[in-house]
Amino acid sequence: MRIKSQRDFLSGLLFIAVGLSFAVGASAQDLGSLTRPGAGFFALGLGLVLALLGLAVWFKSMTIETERGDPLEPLAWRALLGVLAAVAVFGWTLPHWGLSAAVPLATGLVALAHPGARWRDVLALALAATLASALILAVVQPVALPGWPMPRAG
Amino acid sequence: MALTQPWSIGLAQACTPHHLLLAAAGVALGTLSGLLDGLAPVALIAVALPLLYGGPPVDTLIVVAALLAAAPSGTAIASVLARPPRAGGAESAALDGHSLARQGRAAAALVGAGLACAVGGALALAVVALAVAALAPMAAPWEPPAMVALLLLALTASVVLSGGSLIKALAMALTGWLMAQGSPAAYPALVRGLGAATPDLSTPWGLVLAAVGVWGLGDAVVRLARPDEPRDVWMRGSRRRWPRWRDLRPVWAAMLRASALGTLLGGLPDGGVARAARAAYALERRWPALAGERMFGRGNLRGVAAAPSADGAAARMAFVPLLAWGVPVNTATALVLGTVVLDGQPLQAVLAGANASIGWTLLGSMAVVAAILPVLCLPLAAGWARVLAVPRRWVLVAVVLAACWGVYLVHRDPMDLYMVGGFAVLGYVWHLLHCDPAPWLVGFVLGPRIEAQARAALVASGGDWTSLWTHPAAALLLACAVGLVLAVLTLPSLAAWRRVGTDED
Repeated sequence: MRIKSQRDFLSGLLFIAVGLSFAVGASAQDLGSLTRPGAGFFALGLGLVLALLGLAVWFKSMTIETERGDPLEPLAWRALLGVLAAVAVFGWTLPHWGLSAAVPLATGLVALAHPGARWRDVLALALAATLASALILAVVQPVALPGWPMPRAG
Repeated sequence: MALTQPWSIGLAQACTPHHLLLAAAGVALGTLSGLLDGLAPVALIAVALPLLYGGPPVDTLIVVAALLAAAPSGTAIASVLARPPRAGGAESAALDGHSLARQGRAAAALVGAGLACAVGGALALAVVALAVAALAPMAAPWEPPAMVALLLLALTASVVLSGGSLIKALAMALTGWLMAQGSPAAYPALVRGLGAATPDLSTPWGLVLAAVGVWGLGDAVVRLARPDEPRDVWMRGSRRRWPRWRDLRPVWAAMLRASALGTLLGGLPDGGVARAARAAYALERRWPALAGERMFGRGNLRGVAAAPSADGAAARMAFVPLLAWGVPVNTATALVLGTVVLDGQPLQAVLAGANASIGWTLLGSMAVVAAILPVLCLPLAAGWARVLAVPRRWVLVAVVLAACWGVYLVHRDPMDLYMVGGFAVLGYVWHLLHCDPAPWLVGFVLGPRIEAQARAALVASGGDWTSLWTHPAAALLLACAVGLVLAVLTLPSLAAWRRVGTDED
C-alpha cells in the first residue's frame, strides 16, 4: 500500500505514540473505580481515545486519495536551527557571560537563520539589538544584570 | 439604571495613566502587527504574555483587547498602500483599497477603512456592553453538571468549527488536554527522565512558555523560512484628495451591515475575524449595486469598508463569552484564559461577583480604544505606512529577542528558555503536519476544568455518571453539542464554512 498522504501518515503515528504513552503513564497511577475515579482515570481514557484517533488518521492516510500525496514541506533547517540556537545560547550565556555577549550572539544567530543574510546586516542587527536591550532595560527596569555595563571578568 | 453605575466606574478606572499606557501599547502593537510583514497578532500576544505575567488580570485583558482591536486597522493600511501578498481569502477584500491607491486616491481608501474600523468597533462595543449587563446575573457559578456540559460544548465547537480535518482537530484537543495534566507521573517515563527541572505545564506559566514557543517562535521559524517578498509600497495620493462626503454616504450603510455581521459572528468559536471579514465582503458584493459606483475589485468604497468593520466588531465580540462564562472563542482569548491568574487561581468567569470590576474596566478600556483608534490611524496613517518598508528579518529578530527577554526576566531560569525552544520545535512540527494548534490550546485550557467539574459532579451525585446528562441545563447544552457535530458532518454549507477558515495567516 502506498502512503496516500505523508502529512496524515506522520500525524497519525504521532497521535498514536502520544496517546499510548499517556495511557501507559496513566495506568501506572491509581485508577480508582467507575464511581470514584482516581487520578489516572480520565487520562487513561483520553489516551486510549487519542491512540484510536491516531489509528484512524493513519488508516485514512493509507487509503483515501489526496492531491499529490500531501507532501511535507521541505524542512526549514536553517530557520529552525537558527531560532533554537539563538534561544539556547541566550539562555546559557546571559547568566554566565552577561548581556554584552548574550544579545549579540542570539541576534546574530537569528539573523543568520534567514536565507540570504549578509554579514553587514547581521553585525548591524547585533549591535543595534545590544544597544536597544541595554537602553530599554536601563529605562524600564533598572535591574542588575550580569555583563552590564561591562562583561564580568572571568 | 444599574447599567450606568458600573460602566462609569469602569470608564474611570480605564482612564488611569497606567491603564491608558497599556491600552496605547496594545494599540501600537496591534497596528504594527497589521503593518509588518513578519507578525501575526497572536504571535505578538504570545510574546507579550511573559511581560504581563503575574500582573493584575485587567492589564493583560486591556493589552490583548487593544491589540486585537487595532490589528484590523493596521492590516487595512497595509493592504491599501502595499501590494497584497496573496490574492484570495481576506486579501481579496483588500483589492479594492489597493486599486484606489493605484488611482491616486489612497486617502479615500484609508479614511474609508479607518472609519469602518471605528464604526465596527463602536457598534460591537455597544452590543458587548448590553450583553455583559444582561449576562452578569447569570454568571454566578453553575452547578458542576451544567459546567461540564457548557465546557464540552465550547470544546466541541472549537474542534468542529476549526478548519482542516475534524479527526485531527479532535486529536489535537485531546493532546492538549493530556499535556495539561498536572502530575509528572502522568507523563511518559521518557519525558520524566529528562529531569525534574522541567517546569510544570499545568500552571499558567507553563502555558505562557508553550504559547511563546508555539505561536511566537514557531511562527517566526515558518516566516523566516519563506523567501522575502519585497513589498511595493504605493504612497502617492495618500495625503491629498480626501473623499467627498457624497462618496462616503453609501458606505455608512455598508459599514453598519458589516458591523452587524461581525457582531453576530464574533461570539462564535473560531468564527471571528477572518470569516467575518470575508462574509461581510461577500454580502456587499451581493448587495444591489448603487448608482455611480465602481466595480468590486476596482476601487469600490463599500468593499474597502466591509472587511475592517466586520473585523473590528468581531474582535470585540470575542470577549463576551470569555467575560460571561469563561469560555474562549479564539486563540487569543484562550491564551488569556489560560495564563491570567487571579488571587492564585486561574481566571474563571470574569463577571461573577467580586471580579465584576475587571470586566467593567476592560469595557471602559475598549471604549477608550474605540475612541482613540480613528484619531491614531487616520491622520497618522501615512506615518505608520513608513513602517511597511521594514524588512521581515529585522522584525523577526526583534520578535525572537523580545520573547527571550520576556521569558528570562520573569524567573531568570534558563530552563524556561529551553522549554520555549522545545515548544518552538513542536509548533513547527505541527505546522509541517498541518495539525492546527488552536484546538490543542482549547483542549489544554478547558480540559482540566472539564475534568475537575466532572469529578465534582460525581462526588456530589455519589458516583452517578447519569447526573452529567440528566441535569436539565446540562442535557440542553449536550444536545446542542451533538447537534453541532451532526450539522457539520451533514450540512454542505457548514462544511464549506469550515473550509473558509483554513488560511495560513
